[in-house]
Amino acid sequence: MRHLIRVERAPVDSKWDPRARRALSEMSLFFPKWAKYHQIRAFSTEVYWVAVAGSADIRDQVSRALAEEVLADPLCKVSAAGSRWPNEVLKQQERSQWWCLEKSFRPGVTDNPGHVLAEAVSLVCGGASTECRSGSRLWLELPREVSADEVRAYAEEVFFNALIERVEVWAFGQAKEKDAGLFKGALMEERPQASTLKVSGEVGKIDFLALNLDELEKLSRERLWALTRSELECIQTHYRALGRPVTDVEIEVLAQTWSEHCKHKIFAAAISIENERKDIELPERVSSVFKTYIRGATREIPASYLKSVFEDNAGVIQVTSEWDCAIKVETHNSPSALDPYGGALTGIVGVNRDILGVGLGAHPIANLDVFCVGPLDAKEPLPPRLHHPRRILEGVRVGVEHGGNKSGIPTVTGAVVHHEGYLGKPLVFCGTIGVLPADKDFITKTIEPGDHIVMVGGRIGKDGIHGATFSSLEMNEDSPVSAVQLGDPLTQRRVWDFLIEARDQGLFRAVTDNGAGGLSSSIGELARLCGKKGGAKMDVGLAKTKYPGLKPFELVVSESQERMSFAVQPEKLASFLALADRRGVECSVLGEFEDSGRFHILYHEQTVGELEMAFLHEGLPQLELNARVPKVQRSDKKRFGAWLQLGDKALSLSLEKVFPEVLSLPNVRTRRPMVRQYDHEVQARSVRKPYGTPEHLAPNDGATLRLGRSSFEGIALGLGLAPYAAAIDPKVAAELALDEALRNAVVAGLDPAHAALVDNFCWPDPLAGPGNPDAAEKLGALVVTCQRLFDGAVALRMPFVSGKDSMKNDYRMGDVKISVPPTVLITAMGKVHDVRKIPKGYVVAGKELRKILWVSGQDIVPDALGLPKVDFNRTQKFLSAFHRLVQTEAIESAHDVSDGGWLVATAEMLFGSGASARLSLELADVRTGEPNWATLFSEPATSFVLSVRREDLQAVREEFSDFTVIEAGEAFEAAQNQTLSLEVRQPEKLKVSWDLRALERAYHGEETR
Amino acid sequence: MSNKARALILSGDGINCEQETAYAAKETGFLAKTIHVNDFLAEKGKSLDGASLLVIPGGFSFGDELGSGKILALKLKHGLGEVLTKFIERRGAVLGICNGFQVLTRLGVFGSGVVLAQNEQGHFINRWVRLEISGPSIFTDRLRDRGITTLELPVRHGEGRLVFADEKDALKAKQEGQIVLRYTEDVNGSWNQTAGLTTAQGRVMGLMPHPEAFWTDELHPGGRGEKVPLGIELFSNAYEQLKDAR
Repeated sequence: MRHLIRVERAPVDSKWDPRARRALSEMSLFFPKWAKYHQIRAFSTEVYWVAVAGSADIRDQVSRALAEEVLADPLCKVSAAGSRWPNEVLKQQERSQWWCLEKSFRPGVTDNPGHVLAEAVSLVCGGASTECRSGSRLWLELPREVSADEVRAYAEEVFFNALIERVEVWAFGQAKEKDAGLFKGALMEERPQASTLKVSGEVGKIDFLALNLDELEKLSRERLWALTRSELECIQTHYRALGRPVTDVEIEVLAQTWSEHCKHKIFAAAISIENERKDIELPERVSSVFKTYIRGATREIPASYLKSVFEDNAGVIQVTSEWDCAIKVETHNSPSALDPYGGALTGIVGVNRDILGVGLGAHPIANLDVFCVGPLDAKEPLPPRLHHPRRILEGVRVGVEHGGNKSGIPTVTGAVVHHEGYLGKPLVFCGTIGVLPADKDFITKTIEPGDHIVMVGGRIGKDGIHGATFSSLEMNEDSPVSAVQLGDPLTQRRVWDFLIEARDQGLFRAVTDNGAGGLSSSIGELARLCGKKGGAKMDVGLAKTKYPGLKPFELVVSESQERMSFAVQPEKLASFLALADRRGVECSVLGEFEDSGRFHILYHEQTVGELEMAFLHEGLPQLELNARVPKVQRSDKKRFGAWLQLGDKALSLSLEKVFPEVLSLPNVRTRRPMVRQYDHEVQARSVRKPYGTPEHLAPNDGATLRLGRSSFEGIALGLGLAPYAAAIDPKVAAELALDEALRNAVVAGLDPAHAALVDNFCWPDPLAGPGNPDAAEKLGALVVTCQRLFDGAVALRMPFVSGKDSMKNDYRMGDVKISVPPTVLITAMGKVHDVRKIPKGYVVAGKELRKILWVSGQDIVPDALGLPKVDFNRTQKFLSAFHRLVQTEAIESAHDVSDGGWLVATAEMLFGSGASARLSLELADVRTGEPNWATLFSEPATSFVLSVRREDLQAVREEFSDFTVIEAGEAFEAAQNQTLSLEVRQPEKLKVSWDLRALERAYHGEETR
Repeated sequence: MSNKARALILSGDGINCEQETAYAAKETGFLAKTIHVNDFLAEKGKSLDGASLLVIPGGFSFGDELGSGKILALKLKHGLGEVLTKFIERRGAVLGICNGFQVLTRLGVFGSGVVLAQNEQGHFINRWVRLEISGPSIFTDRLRDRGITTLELPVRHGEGRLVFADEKDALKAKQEGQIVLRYTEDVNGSWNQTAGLTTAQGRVMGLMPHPEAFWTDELHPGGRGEKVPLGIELFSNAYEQLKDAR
């Protein structure tokens, strides 16, 4: 007999009720309607549903174990087989009414507390098998005037996400009734039932030969294949030759494999280019911007330290004699738009798997995150289905907290950029760095015919079906809910621990992750490595599933998380499975690799698809596209820089008042409250953390990680992106992104002669079609960006080793269309010879004066547009000189000039340092009609603020003799309050002084713990 | 057999600081062995024979679901029975760091009414804190002998707020010198700003901050030369006291 047990756990006191507090704080942030009610009270409880099969004795044993052991907590009361209402709820008030909101996961959604509960019950009850699900209740005391509809509106907007959760809203009386009914409403009944599907008969066959192209296009849209007309035609021709219908499994595998997400069709396209600009040299036609420019740059650069580029799940370079480093940066935009929490979480654990799946598996040592979201003060209501940027940021923040922290990987660097174009689709970049022992060949994957296909880790469910194809479409009202899912960091951590152990014991020959496209991609790709022709025979009926009833095609393309695919040699299979069992990791042996030239898919021994490897991987026709190089957007105001985001205030206020305002701009101000919620130092390698000084007040550039324990060698990381420049000129945006990444990395100790680059493109749709009149310009911007990155990489002698592109970052609903600004993120990673020598990010306050220098590798007189100029040959020379100074420890402290400009960078170096500074400058006023101090906020490329000891001044001047070095002032130990004073001598006299504490408050906000 | 004192470091099930913890133990003289929880339970804790120190490192065992440290504590209790208690009775030392402290607390090592609840601010925090040594333990005594009464370490936790269900137990713990480390400011709402507890004459210690994370001076947020890395010295102190006592 199957018994259902419902358990509820309630805090004994509201002091121990963090969920309720969190709900109230989210309510005040995201549901301003109720701000007028001052005293809303809230209580929360946890609810668990446990199904157990067996006798009444077993039911009672499980019940007891739940209440007395598994859920027992000194600060909570647990009620088994009943509800547990907070005492206060029972005291009804006249003017108010208690409401109960019960939340639970939708069927099939990853339920981590539920999984752990089942494991715990099994531990305590001698291996008893149960099925457990989790949920929660929120009790709210609201004025009687609040209607049920209003409570429901609150629930929908704030309390739950309809894509992954369900909610029930009851007024006090209804809740009472409900609970008297002994909770029959529970969850188990709603799961997909085995009986709903007789699978064997249900292998869909689609008669491609009988349908015309219009009909096929319609089918492609309905089923989310995201295949174009010419691709459908190509498939039709292929099957016409074979003389048989296409199975649904085959078309799904083709759709995944040929998706923009997996095949990067736009980057591989043949592009005809129209170019009227004289400052950009481009050919009339390019076949694949990726091969020509990105990979092309890497080909041009002789770099002996490259180990694996563009071949595997991540790029790998050798860094020390002991360690190779792998790097990968991914985007997870579409899922994050629908569910910011789940999107960011799965983005992180997903890119972690790329690192686990590079070579024979690397050990992840660091994460990085970049979030591009709309303005925090975006006007409401927003267009349908869009989340407010505040909610998105909060969601992705928690996603990082769970994805990074729980996995034991430090989040070492990142960025947040606000721009209106990100309202429709936020960009979520997640990157991971991993290490591989350099003395073993853990890079090469080989597969022999007869090696077993083994899927390891999570089970397959309906979650994440069509993620790859969905992300290749714009977001609209039909965006599927199945594309959203939650991650399970615990399962993934177990897989990681197992993988490294199995690798070191030589228990497998190849591994890759299951990401976009699920098994269709992971096995489809691995199969290419087997023999001459490649191939695999895989029975998906053997795969472990979360629940019965999955169709064969769903098993093949599901993107359920936490799975890795292995090729295991027959003689090691038993050891491999035994180790997995000891580590609590589940395996499914699905078949064998073979040298047949075929990807043969079965379901319980019955063929459900048979694809030719050659057609699957090389059959995709190349796209033919047209691009037009966009003109530079002439702006009336010939200026550029974050400080202009102040709007009219920028020029109407005095310098004294403007400066604190600039420091508190959303794109300038601190990220400390967010960063301090990320673990940025687990694994004990983080030498350069996001914030320096003992109180974490001075923002640092980039990140430095020490690799070994016995050597002082390490790696430096830097990030760069410039979406604001992209709207004016994509050429400059590309230059600035590369420049910023290197500015950050070189301060973090990077040796420019031992560095690698990663490119990530997030573009508005560059394919022509209805409603996209400027597609050719968007594609033109892409071509220009790639070409400039080529120039930059070649001049700097830094190869690209990995990259990713996401091409449909548009939102369309009715007449509303919002597109992201063309955004390229550059990540630089390279060797640090001695982590002890890197400059500090803050000024050292000592008895001796420090010299404050403003230095630039570029010609810093801004051009007519105020856009920074970048000459990559100058950048290269400057970075080399900078690095020589780091090596001789002549630069005590350094910070790059970035959003907010010179004065902001200088102040940031003083926060928490205990030093005061006196600046005295002559400023060239090159812009008519502006105060001369505007230059203080300019953001020239390749520019830095340095603080150096007097004895090092000469060496710095000599190294930078070809470049601009301004002796801007001096810093010294503050006697009492830290101050920053500034005197402008020319052309107009000006004297200002700020209390640094006040500037610090403007930048960091009110003190939070 | 080597004369070195042996340290056993647990791993698996979401523990994630085992590498740096094992390094700290090894570097300070211990013969350190890392063992997966499942292997440890399969052998019924046999590796503890001949070991002087058991370390439960930091991490997110069982994803912190259902209460931090809760399920790993259940697993150890049901899988090991009396083995752990007996180890402590025969003067074995135990160190629980962060999640390991939560596990020890859930096991009832520090009494039944003690719990590490969610931080008062309601979320995870990663920052460096200053700690004062406020009680005796084999991990801290030698620092005090040298006149060192404060040290800086990072905290990285969401549930580090020490709560005694009964105030009487709290006062008793204080009186008996169980409160071995205190934050010098209110970091997470912890009772009496408590960061670490001891029991069994200072041989068993749990603490929320991460001593293994400050093993070399450039890891301090102030940078190289700012502070002496005292984190790793908690291990060397324990080694000095344990190496002869076996």
